[in-house]
Amino acid sequence: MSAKRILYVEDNPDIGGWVKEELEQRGYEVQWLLNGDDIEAVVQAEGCDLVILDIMLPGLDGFTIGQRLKTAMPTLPTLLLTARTAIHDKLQGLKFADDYVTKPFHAEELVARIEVLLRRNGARQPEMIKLGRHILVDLDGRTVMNADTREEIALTGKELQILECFLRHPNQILTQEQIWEQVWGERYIAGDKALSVHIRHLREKLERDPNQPELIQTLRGLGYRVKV
Amino acid sequence: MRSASFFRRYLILHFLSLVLLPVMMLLLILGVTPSSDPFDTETANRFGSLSVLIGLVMAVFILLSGVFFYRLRGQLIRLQQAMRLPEDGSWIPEPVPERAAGMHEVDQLAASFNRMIRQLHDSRLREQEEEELRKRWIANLSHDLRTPLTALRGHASRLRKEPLGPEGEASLAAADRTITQIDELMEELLSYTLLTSGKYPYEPTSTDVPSLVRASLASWYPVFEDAGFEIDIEIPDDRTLAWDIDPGWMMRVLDNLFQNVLRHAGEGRYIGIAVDADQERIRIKDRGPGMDRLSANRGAGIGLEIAKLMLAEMKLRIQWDDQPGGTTLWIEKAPN
Repeated sequence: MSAKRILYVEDNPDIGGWVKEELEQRGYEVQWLLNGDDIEAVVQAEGCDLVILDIMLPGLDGFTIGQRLKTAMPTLPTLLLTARTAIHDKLQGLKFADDYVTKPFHAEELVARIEVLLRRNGARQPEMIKLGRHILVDLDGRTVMNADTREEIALTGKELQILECFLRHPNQILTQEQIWEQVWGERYIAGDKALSVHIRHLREKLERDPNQPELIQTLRGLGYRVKV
Repeated sequence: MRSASFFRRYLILHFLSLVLLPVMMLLLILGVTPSSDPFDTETANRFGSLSVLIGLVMAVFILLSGVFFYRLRGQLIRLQQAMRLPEDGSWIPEPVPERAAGMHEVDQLAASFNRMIRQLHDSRLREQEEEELRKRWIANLSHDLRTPLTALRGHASRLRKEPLGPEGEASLAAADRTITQIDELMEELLSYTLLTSGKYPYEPTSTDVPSLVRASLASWYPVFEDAGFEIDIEIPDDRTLAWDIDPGWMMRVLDNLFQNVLRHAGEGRYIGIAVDADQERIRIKDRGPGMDRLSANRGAGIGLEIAKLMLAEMKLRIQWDDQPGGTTLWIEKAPN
C-alpha cells in the first residue's frame, strides 16, 4: 500500500519542521507549504489524502482556505491545527473541518487523530476484535464467536447493536443515556430497565461467569465499559 | 449669558410690594379724605385704611411667597426626577433637560449637573475602550503565546529521541508538564476574559442534571482511576432533575471543579460525587486540604472564579464546607 499523502500548511518554521518530521517518521508523505494561497492547485495537481491547516497564516487565513477547499473537494478530510482555542473559533472551524486540534499539542495526539480521519474516509479493513480471552467479534460480518469452542454465538439485533456501540468506543465509559441514544435513537427515560436486561442477556451469552463479568464492566451509578 | 436670579426677582417683588403698596395707600387716603372732616370720622377712616393696608400687604406677601415656593418646588422636583438613576442598571443618570428660557440658580444647577454627567460619560466610554483593548490584547496574547509554546514542545519532543541520562529524561518530562501547565493557565485566562466580556456563547435549555453529571464523570472516571482515587458515585438513575442551563457551561464548571480536586486534593485519593434530586443539588466531596488554601494557591483560583461566574450566570451558586478531613462542595440554585 502506498504512503498516505498529507498536505500541511504552517507558517512557523519550527512547528512546521517538527510536525513534518514526526509524520514522515510514521510513514506519511508530507508536503509542507508556508501559506495556503494556491493550495487548491497543489491538491489538484499532486493529489492528497488529508489536509492539515493552521488558521493564522500570512495571506489567506485557514478558515477561508479550508472553506474553499471543502467546497471544491467535499470528501477530502481537513484537520485544523491552531493556536485559537476559543469556543467560537472551534465552532466556526468545525463547520467545514473534520477535526480541530489546538496548540500546543502532542505529536502522538495529532497522529491518532489523523489515523481516525483516514480510517473514516478510506475503505475499512475487515476487523476481528478480540474480547477478553475467548470472544472474537467480526463487526463487518456481524458475527460473534467463542474462540475456545469455535462456535458462533447467536445474538439478538439489539444485543449486537449494544455490543457494536461498546466496540466503537473501546475502553470508554458509556452512560445508560449515551448507549440508549445510540442504539435506540431516542431519549432515555430515567428508570427504564430495558438496557440492563439486555446487558444481562449479553453477559449470559458472552461471559465465562455472568455473575462475575470480565468483559462488560459495570461502574455503579455511572454506566458500562468494555475494555479491549 | 443672560443671568436672571430667581431669588433676586423674588426679593425685588417683595421690596416693591412693601414700599409701593403703603405709599400708594397713603396717597389714596390723604387725597380722598379732606382735612376739615370731623375728628372721629377721620380717625376711624385712618384706622380702617391702615388695617386694610396691612392686610393687603400681608396678602400680597403670602401670595408672592406661595408662588415662589410653588415654582421652586416644581423645578426642584423636575430636577430630582431627572437626576434619578436610570432603570437599565447604568450608574450614570441621563442629562437633565435644560430650559431654553432663563438661567436662574436652578437652571445653572441643572447645567453644571449636565456638565458633570457628560464628563462621567466620556470617562466611562474611555474606560470601556481601554477595557475592550485590554481584553482583546489578552485574547491575542494567549494565541500568540501558543505558537512558541508549540515550537518548544517540538524541540522537547526531538530531544526525547536523543540518548539522555535519567536526569535529562526527568527534566524533559518536567518541561513537558510545564508546557501543559502554561497552556492550561492561558486557556483559563482566555475563558475568563471572554466570559467577563460577554463573549462566551450562552444557550440555556432544560437539562437533566443526573445525565449531565454522569456524562461528565464518564470522561473523568479513567483520569481519577489512573491517579489512584477511590471514586464514590451516588447519582440516581430513576430520578430526573431539570435545570434551565447551558449544558456546555455546566460541563465546563464540572471540568474545572474535578480538575481542582485532581490538582489540589490529590493526596486525599478520594472523590465523592452525588446528585441529590430531593434537595436539588450536586455534591462533590474530597479529602484535600480545603478550598481556602486552594484560593491562596498560586493562580489556581482562576478556574474556580470561572466556575463561579458561569454558575452565577446560570442562576446557580457554589457553597462549600472545609473540614480537617476534607471539603464538601455543593452546586445549587441561587436564592432569588
